[in-house]
Amino acid sequence: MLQLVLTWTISRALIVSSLAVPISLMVCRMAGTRSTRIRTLRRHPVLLAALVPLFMPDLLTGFTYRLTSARLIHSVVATELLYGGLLLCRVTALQLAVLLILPSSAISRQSIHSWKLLRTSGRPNWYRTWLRMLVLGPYRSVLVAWIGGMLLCFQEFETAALLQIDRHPVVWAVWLFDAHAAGEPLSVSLSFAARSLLFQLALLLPAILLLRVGGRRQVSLPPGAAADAGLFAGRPALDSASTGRGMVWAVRWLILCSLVVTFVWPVASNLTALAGGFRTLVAQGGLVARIRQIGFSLLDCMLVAGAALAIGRWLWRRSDSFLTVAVLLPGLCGSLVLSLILLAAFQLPVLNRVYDSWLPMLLGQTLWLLPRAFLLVAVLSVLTPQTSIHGAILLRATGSRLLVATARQLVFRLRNVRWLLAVGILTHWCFWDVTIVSVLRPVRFEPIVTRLYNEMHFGRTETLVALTCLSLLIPLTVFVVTGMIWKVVAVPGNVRHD
Amino acid sequence: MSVKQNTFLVPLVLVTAAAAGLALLVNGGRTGGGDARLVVYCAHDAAYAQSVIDLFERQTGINVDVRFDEEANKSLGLTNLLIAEKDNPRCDVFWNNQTLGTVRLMSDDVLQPYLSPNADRIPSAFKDAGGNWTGFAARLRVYLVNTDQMAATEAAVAEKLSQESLSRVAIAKPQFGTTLSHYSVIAAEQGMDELQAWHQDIHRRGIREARGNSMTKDLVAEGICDLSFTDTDDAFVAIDDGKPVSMLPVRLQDGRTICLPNSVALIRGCSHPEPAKAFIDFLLSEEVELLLAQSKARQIPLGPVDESQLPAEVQELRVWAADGADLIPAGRVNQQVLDWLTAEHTGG
Repeated sequence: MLQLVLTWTISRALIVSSLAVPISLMVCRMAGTRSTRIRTLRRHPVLLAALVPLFMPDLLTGFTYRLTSARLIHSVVATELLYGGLLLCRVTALQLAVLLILPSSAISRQSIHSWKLLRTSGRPNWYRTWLRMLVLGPYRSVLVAWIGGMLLCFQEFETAALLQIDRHPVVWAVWLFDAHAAGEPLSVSLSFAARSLLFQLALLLPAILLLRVGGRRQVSLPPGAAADAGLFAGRPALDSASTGRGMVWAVRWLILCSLVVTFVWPVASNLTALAGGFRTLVAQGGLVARIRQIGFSLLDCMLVAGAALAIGRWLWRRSDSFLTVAVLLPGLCGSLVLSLILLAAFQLPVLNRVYDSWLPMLLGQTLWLLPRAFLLVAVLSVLTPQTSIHGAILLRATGSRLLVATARQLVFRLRNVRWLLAVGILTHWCFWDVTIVSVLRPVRFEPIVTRLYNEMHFGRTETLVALTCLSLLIPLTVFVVTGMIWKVVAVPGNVRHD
Repeated sequence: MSVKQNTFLVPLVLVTAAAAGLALLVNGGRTGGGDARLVVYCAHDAAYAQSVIDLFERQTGINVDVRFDEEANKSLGLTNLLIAEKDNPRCDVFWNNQTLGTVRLMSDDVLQPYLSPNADRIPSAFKDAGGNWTGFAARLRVYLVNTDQMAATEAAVAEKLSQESLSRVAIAKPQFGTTLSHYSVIAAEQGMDELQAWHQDIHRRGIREARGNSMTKDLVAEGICDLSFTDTDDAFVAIDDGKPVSMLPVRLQDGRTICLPNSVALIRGCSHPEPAKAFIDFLLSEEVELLLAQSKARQIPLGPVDESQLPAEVQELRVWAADGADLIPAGRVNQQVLDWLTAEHTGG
């Protein structure tokens, strides 16, 4: 049975992630070359719309479409298509984000073309070098995006659990949860998890390798190959192809559909319940308590995100593959297996005194978040414009007040904003995970996400919608305000550009 | 070129460590405390249980820390957690929203007997003679019928269930919750072989298997299925929403119904035994049974109460509950049923 469920889940991940690649590439092309992508993001609503599904909570998506799935009960294919479609929206957004932020290939199309011309010259290892140039060059971003999509599909749990009827959609994580919740001992659950772990490692290791080799280090080709092929930084091959008018419209329609499915419909269909939900919360006198609950959940997740990011950076700098795999391994087990292992560990006499504290939960959340944090660090490290930062830092040493202020602003934008965003993304992921907190939280702490689950189960849609709205808005406000305060502290005084 | 970057991460890590330390100081190592407080694990819905706990706090001055169960855990979460914590329990009282899970804890030596004076008002079919657990305020297993699709009569239900195709009938996953209890009651009454034959038969005929009773209720309320097996509290959610539904009690071959009470138990080796006993006494009181009967879940009092204070629906349910099957034999086969269902799930 395990074999079947794993095969089904991996096949779905393979299909969805592969389907998402051409779509995300087309959207990426619409944004133009990499040098203009980030600037375009602000002015390009289509790009922003395409990224929205990545930040919609799985809980809300699953809750909105649970009855749709129920109506498709008489067709297994339709249920699987619905789930696959929802995954496709999210995976496309993830792949787009990866393609947007990863730097362009260090190996140009011209270089590859030149190397192809050398094919008849009888150079040894020609094919090997050619393949290496392709993988580390124009296909590097695509491969990393594809792997990211596969991992996202494979680990998805919440939406599947809410949609599932008659065991469809077949999802490994849900299957494992059911097996353990029904009484399988931890050792058996771990043996079930082992195969999935191998699969995830087989995906993650090449991604790390691609980011390391093709990113911050020079690509080393055989002696003479670089000179023969004429290596230089340039536009990636896949960016340069012209995009037809029909294709542009097709992509826009796809993005619009994705936005409607993952954002507009879930919001619109629940909007009518929003006012009633707030009224109920106020009437029950629970509004302040729920806001406090969201605040504590947010604080917990921000701390965890910061810690995971710091550990991820430390791992990235050490470049110790064995240590990296060892530290990332617990998180790759998935939230259920990880939390059960920690639960068992904290029953040992030596750890039991701190069992009913925040420590087990913080540890569990940090370990779970580490693989994602590490990938973010890898991507951001590849992106960091060291030369520009160094230039800006040198500028700070000048005597001119205006220049110093400009330099500070520049350093803030180049160095700090991206890490704030990284903390924000990790916090968001941590905030909406229910499994670890439900197993490892201390008695006195009830995170808002567990409350949301219970409201959902008992069909209190109004309160659920109001709480979900608060749970999205409060963290967003906190991050915007934190960013503003940080900017004021880091960049004192206003800069006038006359 | 050496550029010192991301210095903010250093203070962030320090803040993390400081917060973790503070949290440890505030919460850590408190199991040996002797203050007037109590830790309760509660599988009953927070919205209904919280008001009962608040009332207890007001009446006694004892502070209660509650750990509610999550739907994500399918109510097995707290049971499994109590087993995991058996050697160093932090929970004092377990308030389960059903019975058989608590009976399983008894065999795992998690429970400590306590004969509450208020347990006298509960019929013997709904409590352990040794005082390991006591039932109160029950739910019933019911058929939920979509009245737009079929008549809400026992004859119509029997006819529906005898049809070759059950594609418009729904049941929840039997590994969890009250569906597991339902299966255990059948196994106790008819034997494991009969239960397995029935299970295979309804699945061969295409019964729809949802992840929980809440979804089986939705399937009928939305007209996607005509009939489902669910509980009274879920059925009342659909009725209160004005859906075209009606309910009938599920009856066993001998005509008895399946009445599943909440249960309360003292945890062996708990840190606060006296407040825990006071809480158990409180839960088993007439006052609490009335409170739960008047809640939206309309739970059925098992002991004698002032009938005039009961909602009309609960008075009707009380008649059905009077036919409830004895749960003690079901408790004995519960683990066997679960083992079989788990093996079916994993293919083991």
